[in-house]
Amino acid sequence: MSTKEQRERIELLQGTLDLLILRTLLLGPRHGHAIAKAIEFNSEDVLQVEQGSLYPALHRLIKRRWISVEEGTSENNRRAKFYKLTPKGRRQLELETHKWDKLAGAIARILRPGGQEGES
Amino acid sequence: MTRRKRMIEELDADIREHIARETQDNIDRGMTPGEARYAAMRKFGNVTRVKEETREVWSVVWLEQLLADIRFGLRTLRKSPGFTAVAVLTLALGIGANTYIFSVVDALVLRPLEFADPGRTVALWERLPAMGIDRNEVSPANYLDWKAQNHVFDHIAVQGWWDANLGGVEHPEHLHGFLVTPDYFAALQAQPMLGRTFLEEEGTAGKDHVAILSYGLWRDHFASDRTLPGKTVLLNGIDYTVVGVMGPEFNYPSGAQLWAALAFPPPLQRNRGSHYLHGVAHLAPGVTRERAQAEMSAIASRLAQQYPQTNTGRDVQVMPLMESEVGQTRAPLVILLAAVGLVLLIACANVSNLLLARASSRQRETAIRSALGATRRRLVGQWLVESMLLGFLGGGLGILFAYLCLYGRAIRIPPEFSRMLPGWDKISINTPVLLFTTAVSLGTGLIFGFLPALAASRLNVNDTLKEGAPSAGAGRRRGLLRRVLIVSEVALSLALLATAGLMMKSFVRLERVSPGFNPDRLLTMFFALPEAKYTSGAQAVNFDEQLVERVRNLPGVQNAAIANLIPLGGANETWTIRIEGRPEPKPGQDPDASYRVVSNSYFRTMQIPMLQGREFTSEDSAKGQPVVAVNAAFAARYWPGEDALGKRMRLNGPPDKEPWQTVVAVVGNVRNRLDVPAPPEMYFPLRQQVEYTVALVVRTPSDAARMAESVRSQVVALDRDLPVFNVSTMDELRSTSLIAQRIGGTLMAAFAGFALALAAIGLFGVIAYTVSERTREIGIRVALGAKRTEILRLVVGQGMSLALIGLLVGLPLEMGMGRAVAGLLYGVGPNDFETFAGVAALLAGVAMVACYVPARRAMRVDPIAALRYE
Repeated sequence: MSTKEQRERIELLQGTLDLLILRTLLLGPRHGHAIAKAIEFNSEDVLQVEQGSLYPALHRLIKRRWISVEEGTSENNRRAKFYKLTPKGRRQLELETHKWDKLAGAIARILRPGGQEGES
Repeated sequence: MTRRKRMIEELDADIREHIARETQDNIDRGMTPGEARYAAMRKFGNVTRVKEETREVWSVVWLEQLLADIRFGLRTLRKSPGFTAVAVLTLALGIGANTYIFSVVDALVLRPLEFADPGRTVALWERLPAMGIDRNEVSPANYLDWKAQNHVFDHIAVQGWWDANLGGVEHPEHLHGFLVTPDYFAALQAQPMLGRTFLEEEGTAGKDHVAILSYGLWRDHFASDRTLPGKTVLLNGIDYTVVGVMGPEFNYPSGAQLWAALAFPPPLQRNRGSHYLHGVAHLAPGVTRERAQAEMSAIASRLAQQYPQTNTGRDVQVMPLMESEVGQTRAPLVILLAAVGLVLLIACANVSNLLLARASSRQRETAIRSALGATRRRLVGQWLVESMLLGFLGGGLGILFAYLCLYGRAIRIPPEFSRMLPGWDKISINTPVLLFTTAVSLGTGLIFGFLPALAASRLNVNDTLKEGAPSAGAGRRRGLLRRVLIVSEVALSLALLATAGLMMKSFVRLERVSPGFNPDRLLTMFFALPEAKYTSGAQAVNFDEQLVERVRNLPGVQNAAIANLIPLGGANETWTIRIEGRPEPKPGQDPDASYRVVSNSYFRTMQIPMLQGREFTSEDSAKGQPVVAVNAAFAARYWPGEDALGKRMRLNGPPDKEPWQTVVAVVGNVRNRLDVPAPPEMYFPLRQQVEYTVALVVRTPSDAARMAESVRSQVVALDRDLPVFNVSTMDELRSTSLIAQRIGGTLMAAFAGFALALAAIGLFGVIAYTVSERTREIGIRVALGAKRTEILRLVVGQGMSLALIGLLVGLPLEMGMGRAVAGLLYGVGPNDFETFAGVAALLAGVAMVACYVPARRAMRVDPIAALRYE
């Protein structure tokens, strides 16, 4: 629906968004809008989050107690909800990152069967 | 919950904030406010959908899934009615049997006495550790000392059996009465429904003619007259003032119809030798049972020093009243409950097997669900929901079965016996029982559903979905599971069969025990002559002899006699004695013997063999020489290797009151209980030892029960106010005395039979299933020249090896069960080889049949058809 004019942008795989949110919060608590911005900015706008889909993902993470919420004041003195990584979330991020690396490595080997034989 | 609500409520604000920021960013980039907001909205996406998705994160998805699973489960169960019927029926029988037995356990063991304060009400017994006697009745003087010296009870009382003839009514009736000291009701923390309980002064002689009625007696004989307290009733020919009526819930001692005040006249106050009272007490505030025990033991040892002759070696036993009441019934009931639990386990194994077979035939369905994205957890959950549904359906039907057993009187107990069983009248399918059944159904569903669910969800989607793939693969592991289940079924059945076998064998042994007299065609009944009317012993004896004479003249009656107690009647009386020429025994080591008082015709009527000496005659009267007849056990114990005739003994007591008695006869041993060898017994002639409550025994020409009315009418002819009670034939007494063994044995046999049937069905199912699975293989074997008998041997061999493994595994189980029931057995060891071998052979034979039927089908496999199969 949103990809008509932005073919080169990649839609996010389900579950990947969670990982990105956790990664973003590793740098410190942020409010929702800032998270969306950070993901877009850090991926150099390649990853386009439909900003609304951030919220179900945030709530999923809260429910799993990977992140927590606190009230705070933003840079321009507006009240906002800040999302913060919990220790449990930090562990999960490590785990997911590790998994992701393995997966990405495996896919890369399959797509570019260079020197070594891929072990599928 | 509140967290979830708050989150969703705050979501709105969060989203608004987000869009505001994005709009601001856009304005900063130079858009007009309108454009900026539009762009922000577009970038955010569908707000409603976002909200919905977020709400979903917090909603209780599992509940919706559960409901969907239940609907789906019900639909699948309805679609295979055959499977559902077999599974539900199996479970219903298993759960129903458990519910039934539990309802009995609940009433008889868990809550037999509904007292206000069961934890702090204790029973008091005398205890003779050196003689291995845990519970001896209390003597009056000991009780009075306990009462005076203890500081640990706020109420202490004793109670004793009392024969009460209710007079002044149209049909005189014998009542099960109890004489109780005034504090009795306070010790039990019981309040009367009408009137009051006894006052302290009513425990003194002369003021003790006061009575309290049970609810049943008040309702049936006094038409629920609320003004009854204060009026008088005629008991044993004496006016008693009714002071109160107890409520329907108070039934202690079990079967009591009324209570009268117990007073100790001076001679009794000094009596330490007659042990006939039952003690109850209530712990004072802050006193533990341990402290009470310590203090009572200290009192007992003081009394032992003070009165060495009577009290040496006598301790006091302070036990919870509940323990004292249910101690006897608990062990056999717990064993039955365990047995019925094993039956349910076997039923579970069978249903598990059915489910496994179903899992195979539903592989494709499972594979598709899995391919469509169902997680393993979801698949297991769905299977579990289905088995829970089966569990609940089985439980529901099981409750119905239990109802039928209960109200169809599956266990029959004569009322004279059940009245004495505390809690018997309260057996019902009540809330605790229903809770138990619900828990059992739930647990059952989990147990039998879990393994199949795991097995069903563990499959290779690709293989399964390939058209026509043989259903091997995951089936192999499942096959192992099925075999393990069968082995455990066989093992459990073996244990149950062995237990049932031991109990039945013990029962048959008991049935065959000769009681030492001829029990055929004997009619027995009791009557209690009121001392108020029969003031002298001679009058009582006169009545007895007239009655015997009249009954003997009834047409066809062969003989009749009087005795204070009858064998197999459940009661016994033991007195300490002295043997002439022996040194005075050490304190606490008095010789004793069972005490019997009989009329002249007793030995002939009962057909007890006269080994030596003569019958009692009318010369053996109060004026004649005191005589006694002893049984062979008595002669062997007290005059071993000597001729007992002419020797003398006397009852323990002051020599002037208890004269020497000369042995004039040695008679055969008679058992008072079939499972206990005859103790030493002494028989005194009726004319020399007067008894007021006695039994009449009559040897009738044919069916003893049919003579009851004409014999009773002879009693009425002599004294129209004298009720007879406990009218029964010796056959009935005999079978009542074995009732626990019979009920236990029968129930156990029923459970074991059920278990055997289940195991056979299970084995049959597994073998039939493997045969159908191996049809192709068998076809190939036949095509390659295998003989039919070889196929038969192959299939039967497979089944029998499972059965044999089961038998081996079951051996330790069966020995364990044997040990558990050892205490209930008579004449059979807990490891009785004959029984074990017998049940193993039975089980093997049944297994053989269960394997043979499917094996025959395998034998007839047509190789051509088999190779086309599937």
